[in-house]
Amino acid sequence: MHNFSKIILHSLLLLLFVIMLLLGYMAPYFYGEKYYYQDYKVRNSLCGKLDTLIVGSSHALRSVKPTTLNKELNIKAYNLSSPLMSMYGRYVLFEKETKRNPIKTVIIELSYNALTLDRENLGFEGDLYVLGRLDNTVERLKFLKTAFTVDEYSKVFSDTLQRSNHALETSSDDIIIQDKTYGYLPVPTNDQSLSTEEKIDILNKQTLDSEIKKKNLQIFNDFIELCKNSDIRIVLIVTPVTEKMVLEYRNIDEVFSQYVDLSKKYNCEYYDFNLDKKRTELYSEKESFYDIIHMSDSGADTFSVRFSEILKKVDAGEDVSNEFYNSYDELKKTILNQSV
Amino acid sequence: MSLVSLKFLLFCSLLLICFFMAPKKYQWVVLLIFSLAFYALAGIKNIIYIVITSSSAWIGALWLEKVSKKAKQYIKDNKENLTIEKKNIIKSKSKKIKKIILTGILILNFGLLCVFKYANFAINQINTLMGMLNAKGTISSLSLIIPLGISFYTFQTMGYLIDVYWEKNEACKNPLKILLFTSFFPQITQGPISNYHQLSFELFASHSFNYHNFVYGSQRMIWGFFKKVAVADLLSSYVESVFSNYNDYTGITVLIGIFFYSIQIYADFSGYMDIVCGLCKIIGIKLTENFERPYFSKSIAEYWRRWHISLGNWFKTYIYYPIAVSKWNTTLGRKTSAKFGKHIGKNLPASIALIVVWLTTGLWHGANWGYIAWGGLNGLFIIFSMWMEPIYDFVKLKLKIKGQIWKYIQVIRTFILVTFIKVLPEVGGLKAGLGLWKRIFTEHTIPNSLKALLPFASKAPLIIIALGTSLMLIFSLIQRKKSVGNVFNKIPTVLRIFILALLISILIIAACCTDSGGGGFMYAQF
Repeated sequence: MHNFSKIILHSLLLLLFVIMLLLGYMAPYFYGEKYYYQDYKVRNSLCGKLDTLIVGSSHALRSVKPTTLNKELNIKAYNLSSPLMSMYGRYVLFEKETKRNPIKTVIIELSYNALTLDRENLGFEGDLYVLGRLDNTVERLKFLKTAFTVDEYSKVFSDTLQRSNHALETSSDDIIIQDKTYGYLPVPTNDQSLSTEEKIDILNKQTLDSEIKKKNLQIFNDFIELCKNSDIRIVLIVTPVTEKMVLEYRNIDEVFSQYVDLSKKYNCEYYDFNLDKKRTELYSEKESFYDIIHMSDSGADTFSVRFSEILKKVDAGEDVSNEFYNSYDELKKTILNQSV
Repeated sequence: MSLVSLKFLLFCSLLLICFFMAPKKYQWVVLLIFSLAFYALAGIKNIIYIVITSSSAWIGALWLEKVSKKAKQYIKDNKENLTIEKKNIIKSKSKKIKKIILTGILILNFGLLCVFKYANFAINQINTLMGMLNAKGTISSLSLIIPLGISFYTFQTMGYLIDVYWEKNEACKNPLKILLFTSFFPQITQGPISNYHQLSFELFASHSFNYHNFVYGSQRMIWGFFKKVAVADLLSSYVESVFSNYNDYTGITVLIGIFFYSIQIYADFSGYMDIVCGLCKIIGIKLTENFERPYFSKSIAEYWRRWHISLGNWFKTYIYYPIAVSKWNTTLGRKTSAKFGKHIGKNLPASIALIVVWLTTGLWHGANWGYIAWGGLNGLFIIFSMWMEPIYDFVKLKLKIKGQIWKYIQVIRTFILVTFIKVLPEVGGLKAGLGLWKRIFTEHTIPNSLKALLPFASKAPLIIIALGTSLMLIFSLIQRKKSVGNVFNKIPTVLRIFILALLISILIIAACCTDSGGGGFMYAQF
């Protein structure tokens, strides 16, 4: 019996050591801030100073440059977006920042799948990033409990270890200096140009999921409610994607028309910059995009200036509706006509 | 079921509970049930082959024993009536019947092994030959799934049968006990290939829970998991990268790649051995050791006495000796000795036996020319050094070479040779293997940074590999004089537990670094 209690005691001690060592190894991920969007120290340092927040996923992360907005609109904006963010993850980060900053405006980026992709299909990666962006252990444990399913825990554990590994291997040259970019992530340019034949060939070949998921809509409602209660101006935007993306999906109008309906329902401003009449003039498929759905650094520069310009016009009381096409069909026709 | 999985740990825990709770008389039944369950989890259809092997060995052994006993009994009963000549006739008749029985069962079992392992190789060779002769038509390959561990359990069980034939062992009466001997799960996938006399004694004895065994066994299991996951699995992607694209890398990178392979295969195979020996130690069973610090060998012959020891012993016992002491071979030795001197007379029969052993060893490892060349090369090196021994001795005497430095040189030389030979079949055929050798010797670019030297490697896994390899080296050095387990258990308890926790943590981190997931053992393919 004595031996059994010794075995149990030693096993428990072993387990304790293993847990301690692994938690220690996870520290670079949670506290090292080696990932470009692991920014809680920067956000803490800006606490009380921010008045505008950009909330979205990778599309917003790579399109909206807070530095440009700050310069053009004389505001203090921060881009809270990170890749694959679930609606819940966005809400948690946004709620936290509204509590400690005098937020006046929130720019909510809605990509083609922002409300139609449920968490199950989206996966947990985006929420894992959010886990790394929270301030302290209590907040993280709370988020772990609410954002992840029990089945995901072992994968979250192994992914965190893997990311800690990457964090350890990341040299200081590779780190984006957060306090200079205000959460924005620059990426290089990549040629996305298509020939006329290719454009015609891909036209309306694919379908997007157009069903807005109940859970997403519920969180979106919470967003709107929180903003209205805090007297925050809500600006819904769609950031530009490539012509390939626009042309390829036959029901793209169906997806985005639901966003228009939502903006009307909640009485929010809504600007779809894919439908911007100046898009072909402003963005080059060769220079402005990193891949078919994300903008490059130069594209983000151009877009942020254009977005500021629209906001300025709106603030000046101008009607900007004539700056945009009415539908994606109209845009598609224009793209194809220009090609031919 | 992968040995490196939570499922396996659960399986082991369940086994330990059932094993120690079962009445001592029936502990082997628990092992049999778990062994069959383990095997069934790998593919229930495969059980049929293991049952064929085990039942044929059981029937064959009883039959052999019966024939032998019958002849002996007859001679004993008629001792006074039988002349010596008649006794010899009866003995030789009984021997002839036994030979027929043995041959029949060996053909059945090795035939099964050959069909699964070599049929497609043979078909490919026939097709190539037909192509060369411009003959029309080809034979289509067979879609066969090789039963798990067939090479290992066939050799082990046939070893038992041959021992009964040689009357070294008594035949086992209980078919289930033979089934357990054939299917004992810790050794089914990669050996060791045990002999019946030793393993049956361990398997069918009663075992009580022992704290010392539990501690030593679980420590060895942890060390085995560490070697497998933190060294072998991490190295596997680097090695694969070099082997599949060796023409894209500099000669020195390819050279490092082949040394990585040497470390990987040792960590993988010995890691497996540590896991299964550790598990068996916990239940009180002592398995045959398969490694004895092989990379410290001073010659290739010595290396093969220290690497995969149980396979080497099998070949030595059941192939080398029967050939070496066969009538025709000893006659050849006598005649050549009389004509060309003692040295040739002694070495020629041994060389013939060795070349057969090594070509068979090559074939056992895999059905491709790379393995046959690998086996042949090993054999040639051993034969060459055997023939050259007097010259070596003469040169050493003349140059006054002695002492530790010469031993170190021999160890390094053997390690390099073994490493080069080892990669030959692993790159994807003999041609590719030779291409890889060529790359090492003909591409002389010196990379100017670590990134250029090891473009496929990243920092954290490399640190873990370096740590794991250094630990393996340190343990090997300790092992020369003392038991690593004894040395380790002299460390204060808390520190000892911390070191184990560190190993477990590193292996968990390494498992997360391995994109491929690892898990599979290299020797299981043989």
